[in-house]
Amino acid sequence: MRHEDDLRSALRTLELQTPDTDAMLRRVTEQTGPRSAGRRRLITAMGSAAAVIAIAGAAVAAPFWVRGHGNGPGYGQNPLSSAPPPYYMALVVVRDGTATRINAVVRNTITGRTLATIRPPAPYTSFVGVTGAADDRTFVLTARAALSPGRDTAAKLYEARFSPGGHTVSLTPLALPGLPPSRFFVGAALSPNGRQLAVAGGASAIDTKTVSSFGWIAIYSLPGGAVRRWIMGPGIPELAFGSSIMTWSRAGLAYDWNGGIPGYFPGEYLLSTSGPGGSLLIDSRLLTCGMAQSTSLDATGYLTPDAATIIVALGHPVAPGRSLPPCSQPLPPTTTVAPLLEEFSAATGKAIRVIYTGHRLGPNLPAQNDYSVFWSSDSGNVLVIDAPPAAGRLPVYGVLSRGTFTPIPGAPSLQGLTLAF
Amino acid sequence: MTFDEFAAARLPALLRFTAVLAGDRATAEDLAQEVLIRAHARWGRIGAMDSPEQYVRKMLLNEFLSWRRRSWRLIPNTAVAAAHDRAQADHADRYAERDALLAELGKLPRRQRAVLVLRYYEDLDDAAIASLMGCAPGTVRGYASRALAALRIEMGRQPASLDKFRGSGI
Repeated sequence: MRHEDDLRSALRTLELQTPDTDAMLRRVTEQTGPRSAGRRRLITAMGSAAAVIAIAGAAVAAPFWVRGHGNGPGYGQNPLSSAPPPYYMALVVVRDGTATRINAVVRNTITGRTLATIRPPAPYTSFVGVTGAADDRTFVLTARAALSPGRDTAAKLYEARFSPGGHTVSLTPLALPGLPPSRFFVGAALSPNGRQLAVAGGASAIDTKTVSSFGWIAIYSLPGGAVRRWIMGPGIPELAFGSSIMTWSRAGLAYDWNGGIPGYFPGEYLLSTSGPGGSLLIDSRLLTCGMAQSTSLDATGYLTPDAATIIVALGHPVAPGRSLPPCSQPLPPTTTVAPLLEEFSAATGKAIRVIYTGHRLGPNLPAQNDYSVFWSSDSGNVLVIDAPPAAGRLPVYGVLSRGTFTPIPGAPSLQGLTLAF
Repeated sequence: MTFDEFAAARLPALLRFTAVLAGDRATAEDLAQEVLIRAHARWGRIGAMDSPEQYVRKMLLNEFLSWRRRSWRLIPNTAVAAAHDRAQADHADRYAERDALLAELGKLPRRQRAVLVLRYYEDLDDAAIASLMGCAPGTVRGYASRALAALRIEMGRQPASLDKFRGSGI
């Protein structure tokens, strides 16, 4: 029993890391309290980058959506480049007097330089989500108003169109029917051609006593707003979704799910989006088990845009031609600590090759136990990820190609940022 | 119960739980803030429940388990604990072992770590943990078994190894 006591004792020492209660209450109050006068400005250009934001008055005026034709998410019409996009959009927390808000910024991928800053139009106080098309110009931002108990507004989505010439961003509100209140909004993902927008959330039909709600994913056609909806099922709340859950591929929409239904393992699922809507689980198939069901690392998977390959973080390699074990059949504990990224065939589930072997962060620090894939070329042969460039160095983001990770010089760490390429 | 009343009564305990789950203060702050804002927004429903704290705790757990794509990784910040401990030189070896154990805990997959925290910090049984995590009790036992086995192996590779973990009952 002494050994368990050691573990208990070690865990208790982590109480030293407990955030200050009063400070936490202040942070929450700043995010949820009444709007201050300073937040009422509709548009503000910030910084020396001469950011200019234009709000288009029309409810839906988005000619960019109509670039390309066809029913798919746009890979055929708008081939993805194998080079990382030159710009990305990130959400950054800023202090505005005593208040805290979340702005969006456009940055140069190579230098990290901020090219434009966008503040949420009133009455919204923060952007809480961002997703991008494949043209490195078009993004969709989700805005949220200050919240207070008993009062909520629907999340508001804006098209943000970046113009590299003048470093300007035009912001256009999107009129999408049936968006949930902010508290049930989970996330959104724009298809590569910008013609479809997937939204994950919870239903508004709420049983107030049991707090049961319906997790769902809706796909809006843009700019018209026609919607198809897949429902996860009664009693499965939107909390079952992972954070920032969705990515598009030729085969459909990949999403993280935390589980909650016997027989459906937590992991990365693929939703076939060709149908009219219906059951999320019936129209989905499991790509990879989540949360290290069979590995030593937290790993779901990243489906490449061509839907041919799943990239998984593992603690030890799987031999080419072999598969990960079934979700219900865990591997023996691994003794390997060096993390790696390995490709698996999405069609067969068999391992193809290890594409990257990471480093430990230092003698007393763990190996990097999680990778973030921020962007992928169509086939996954070029990735933008964050990874430790060498032993003992903190993670930076960079380009992974042909087994070599090249940090992007001058670029800021992406840790903690919500961003979209 | 209003949100303020709930916060006054239960927030310290929830923040401690978050800190142990996350392993470092900065991540715990981000996790707690994200969840508390959401809880505040839907307090009309949560506050009417029999156990609002249990629901918020589950929200924290879900947020912790789904944090992956926010470019966050689990690196336990043992610096504070280490600085605190160095003043007590008589127990240096013990504290070195504990730091090593914390470092090994930080390597665990998030679900395995969560199971250990819920079992050995929150003292929940496997059925309660399974309910919180949305999985079967057998899955919980599997996570715990693999986590504890990994700790034994990893600890044995440290200079200040915790050999006592080898062959133990945990």
